[in-house]
Amino acid sequence: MLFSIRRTRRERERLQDRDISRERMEYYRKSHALEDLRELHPLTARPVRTYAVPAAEPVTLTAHGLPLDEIEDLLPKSAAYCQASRILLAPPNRVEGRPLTPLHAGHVALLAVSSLLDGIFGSGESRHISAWRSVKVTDSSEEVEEDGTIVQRERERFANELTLVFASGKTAILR
Amino acid sequence: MKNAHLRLGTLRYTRRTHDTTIDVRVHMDRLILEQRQDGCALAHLVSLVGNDADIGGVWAAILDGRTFWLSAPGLGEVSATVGDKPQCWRGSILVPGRKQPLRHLVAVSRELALTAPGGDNASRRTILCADNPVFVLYRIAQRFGLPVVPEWAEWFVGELQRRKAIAPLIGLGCSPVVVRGTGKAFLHWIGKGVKRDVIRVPEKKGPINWPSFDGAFDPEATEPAILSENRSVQLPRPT
Repeated sequence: MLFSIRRTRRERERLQDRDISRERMEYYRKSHALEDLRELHPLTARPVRTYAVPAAEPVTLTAHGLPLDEIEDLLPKSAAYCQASRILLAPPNRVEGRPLTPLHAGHVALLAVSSLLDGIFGSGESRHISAWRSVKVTDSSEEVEEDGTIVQRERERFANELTLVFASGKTAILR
Repeated sequence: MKNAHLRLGTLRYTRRTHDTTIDVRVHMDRLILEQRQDGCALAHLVSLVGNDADIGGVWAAILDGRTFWLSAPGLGEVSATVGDKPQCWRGSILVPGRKQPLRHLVAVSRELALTAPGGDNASRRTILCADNPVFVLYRIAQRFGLPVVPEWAEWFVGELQRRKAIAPLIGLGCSPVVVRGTGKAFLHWIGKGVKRDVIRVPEKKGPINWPSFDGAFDPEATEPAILSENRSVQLPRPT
């Protein structure tokens, strides 16, 4: 029969490989001492001595681990999920309310390219659904200098793209 | 909800150096996993919770591109990595009755991070964390800037299935899918669908109202059997 005590987490982290090797050597040495125990008589079906187990109070089991049910309920409100939801869920932009002053053309343009005015417009054959978005465009240029050196330049810029689907089935991408 | 231990998975990270061994285990509540040809799986999303030291160690391992062991109900134990250039976010959770707050880490692979609006527009693959038809259509439209309405969701997902452009991924706490196709191809499908009168541009003018997808991460919103039987895959152990 082997009795042991479980180490705490701090004790486990402080444990080094050489300690484990030393303990293993000690265990090996002691196991040779068990050779003497072979002289013990084998157990039989009839007990040699009977030990009465005393009555005890009901045991209360206490969990010292993490309260997973509560954690699971709290996780969706975590700041990490709030930041990751921009990628995972991409929540739609919601604009409600009435502007204080009438919108000028510039205001409307800003709202449109921000994808805040996407929707259904027009009537008859020109009825369409519009979707604005910003795209990154890379402009490449190549110049040959006097000494024959080729200089390649790449410039990144943001552009606006409007995609339309008309009621007739015609589609268009305007840049 | 009760019995969270039946739904949560575990991430185990082990690293041996010449004089010490690091063995960290943390709980995992969300996972999106894709099997690769080389036997090692790619985790597109892992959401982990643990103490400060454990989460800090796993965070460093993820940023370093290390491989770790993942286990989840119905999945067994698989080795996986989040890949190069992952995006990570950390937060704290105050659990009543505990002195120290728990740390929460969400790591997203580069491929999943690029599905955000304005990401890689030329990509042919889109990883989505839910297979709800309205959500699939919304995220594809957001990514590629497509003019669509929620009423087309069933038709769009049916079209994806007919063309075998949608496939399920292994998920814990969510039902992830991968959608294959470019924005131009999807716009072409939509144009053809409107021409054939399979879908129609609504008569009512105005903005397009999408439902809220905030509940996509609620445990109650996900299926009780986290990994349904047809998604349960035993991945090979690396040699």
